[in-house]
Amino acid sequence: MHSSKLQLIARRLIGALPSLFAVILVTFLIMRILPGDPAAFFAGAAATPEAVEEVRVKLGLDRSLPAQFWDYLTDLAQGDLGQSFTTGQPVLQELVDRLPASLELSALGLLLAVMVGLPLGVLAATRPNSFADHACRLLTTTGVCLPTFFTGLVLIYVFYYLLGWAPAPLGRLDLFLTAPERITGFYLIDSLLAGDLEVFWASFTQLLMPAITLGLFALAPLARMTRASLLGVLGSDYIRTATASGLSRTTVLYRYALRNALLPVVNTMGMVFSYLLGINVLVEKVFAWPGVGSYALEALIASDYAPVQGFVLAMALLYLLLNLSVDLVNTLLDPRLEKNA
Amino acid sequence: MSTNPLLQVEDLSVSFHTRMGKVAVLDQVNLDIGKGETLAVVGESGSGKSVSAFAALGILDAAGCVDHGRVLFEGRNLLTLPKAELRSLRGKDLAMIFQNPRTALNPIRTAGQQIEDVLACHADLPRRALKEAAIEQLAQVKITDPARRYHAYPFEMSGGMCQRVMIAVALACKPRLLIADEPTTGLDVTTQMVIMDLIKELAQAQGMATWLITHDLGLAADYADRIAVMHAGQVLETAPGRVIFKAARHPYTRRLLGATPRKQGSLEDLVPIPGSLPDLRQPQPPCRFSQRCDRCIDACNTTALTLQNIGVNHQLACRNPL
Ligand SMILES: Nc1ncnc2c1ncn2[C@@H]1O[C@H](COP(=O)(O)OP(=O)(O)OP(=O)(O)O)[C@@H](O)[C@H]1O
Ligand SMILES: [Mg+2]
Repeated sequence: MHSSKLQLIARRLIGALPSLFAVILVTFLIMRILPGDPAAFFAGAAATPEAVEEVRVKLGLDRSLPAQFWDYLTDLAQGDLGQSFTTGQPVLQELVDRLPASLELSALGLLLAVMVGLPLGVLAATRPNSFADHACRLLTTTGVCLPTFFTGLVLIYVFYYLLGWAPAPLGRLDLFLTAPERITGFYLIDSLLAGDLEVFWASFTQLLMPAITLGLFALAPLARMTRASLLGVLGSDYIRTATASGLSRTTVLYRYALRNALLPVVNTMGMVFSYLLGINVLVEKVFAWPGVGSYALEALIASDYAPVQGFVLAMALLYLLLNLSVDLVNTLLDPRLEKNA
Repeated sequence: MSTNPLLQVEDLSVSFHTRMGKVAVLDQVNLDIGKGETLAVVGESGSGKSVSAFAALGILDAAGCVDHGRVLFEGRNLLTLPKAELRSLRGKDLAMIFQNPRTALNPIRTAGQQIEDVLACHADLPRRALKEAAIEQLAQVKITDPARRYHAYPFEMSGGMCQRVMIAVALACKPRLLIADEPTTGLDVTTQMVIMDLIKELAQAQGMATWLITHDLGLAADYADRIAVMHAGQVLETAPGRVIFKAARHPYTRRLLGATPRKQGSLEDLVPIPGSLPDLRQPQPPCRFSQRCDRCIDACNTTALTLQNIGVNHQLACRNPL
């Protein structure tokens, strides 16, 4: 059992190498095709053409594309993602610094969506045409219609500006508080480890609005999938067998129906989480969140190649890990996968 | 009528709400099964055999509804029993096995776990004893190496093996009535016989009554004490197997016999039954077979149809019998 899991992991990692290479190549090319000249940006608006040219040589941008790509690859192989032109910092360091902020936000968004979406889907499936069923339908349609940055702005307007319940949408922590000592980079966890409940609460309230913004988006596919999957399972033969065997309602619903219904829901969760990582870019901008999304967005505007390339590569690796964990969870839930793997 | 009834289905009418309106599927179905007796319910596909059994156990789809009738199990009406009481009867005193053993078992629980679930629900066993009891149950349905099969998932077993596990699940609490809904369709001929023999043997050993649902008159004759012939949601004739084969009175029973392969006799002798099951969405005449029947008289379409005693253990619902 253990070795089959390790095999699965190894097979997936090796199988992902070609697509990782493709991601690296395509991002590299797209960055160079996009309009914008980093040398001009870096040299400043008042620079003479000679000065721009000088900068270009210094940055190595005068060399041929294949040569630049080769340099990039050899640096990558040594774990060097390059330097940001704008901040002068190593990209790897900045990504590592900022990634926990994005992950914490996306994870909380997903958690909220799961906590609301799954029970809602279950209620909708077990009580067709009830209030929960209609609520599920309404939420799933509106959740899909509203663009996330718009939901985010509405939330800020209502809960910060009008009602004053939420803290100012300015990053991870109130300016007067100091961040907890970095252990995981997740403020919620680090503050608890440090035993600082005030910081925990402050960072939680900062997280809440952007997380709800993400959660509202993730809610729709989760609730819909749970409902559809559970409805299908409830109509299946083995549920009839379980009922005919006199098993209690809770046993039939949870041990027999829900566990089977969760299999496709886990896949949806993985998919939704990867969407959330993408949508983060906009939500981080709206809430001034110091994550990797806003970092990449600013770099893109400045034609700063290395951070964008590093960001896309990091996202690709995250997707890879995410899919792998979805597969592992699935093999835990579904014996048919384990034996076939 | 058996003298010592365990289960009596009385005037059971069931309908389904569909997109095309209400469909009256069962029309005044009457069946009775004595203690330890095997009753076979025979009929074409769609004649309402499964629906009768589902209605009796209270496991109809949400769209189905019982319009009329009683189902008495040892004198208690299952249809009006409080839910909790009915649940404690199901699996313990009344058990059911299904048409398709592969889909009837939970795909992500092992054979052993599914037996344990039923035992844990009804039998007063300590947790430790559950596993032992489940393995014993697997041995009882003649599964070789039961301790290993205990850990097997349905997808790792053949159809015949799944049906054995299904039987083990159903018989875990030694029920007094087993409803076997076409337990051998989808299995090869040898496995069919093995499974039927197994059910018969276990039923005899435990003094268990069997409600056998099948479309195979030959199988019914081999394994049942009595046979009830159903057509389009009506019971048309009930009699011991011998009587059905030698002295059936209902034209439909004769037609069914004519369409059943005999041990001696060739395939050319088989005569298909003319027409097809009536469309139950339309209003039906009192006898739903009348449009397919060559002995139809005026009375068939005017007077209500009831099952009448016409001999020892022989009941008939026909205005113009043979
Ligand atoms: N959920 C349902 N909704 C509507 N009609 C149904 C439903 N279930 C059964 N029926 C109808 O009830 C009738 C009897 O079905 P049933 O399954 O009892 O037949 P059967 O005698 O068991 O046939 P088979 O040998 O194919 O299993 C059929 O005409 C079928 O269309
Ligand atoms: Mg059937």
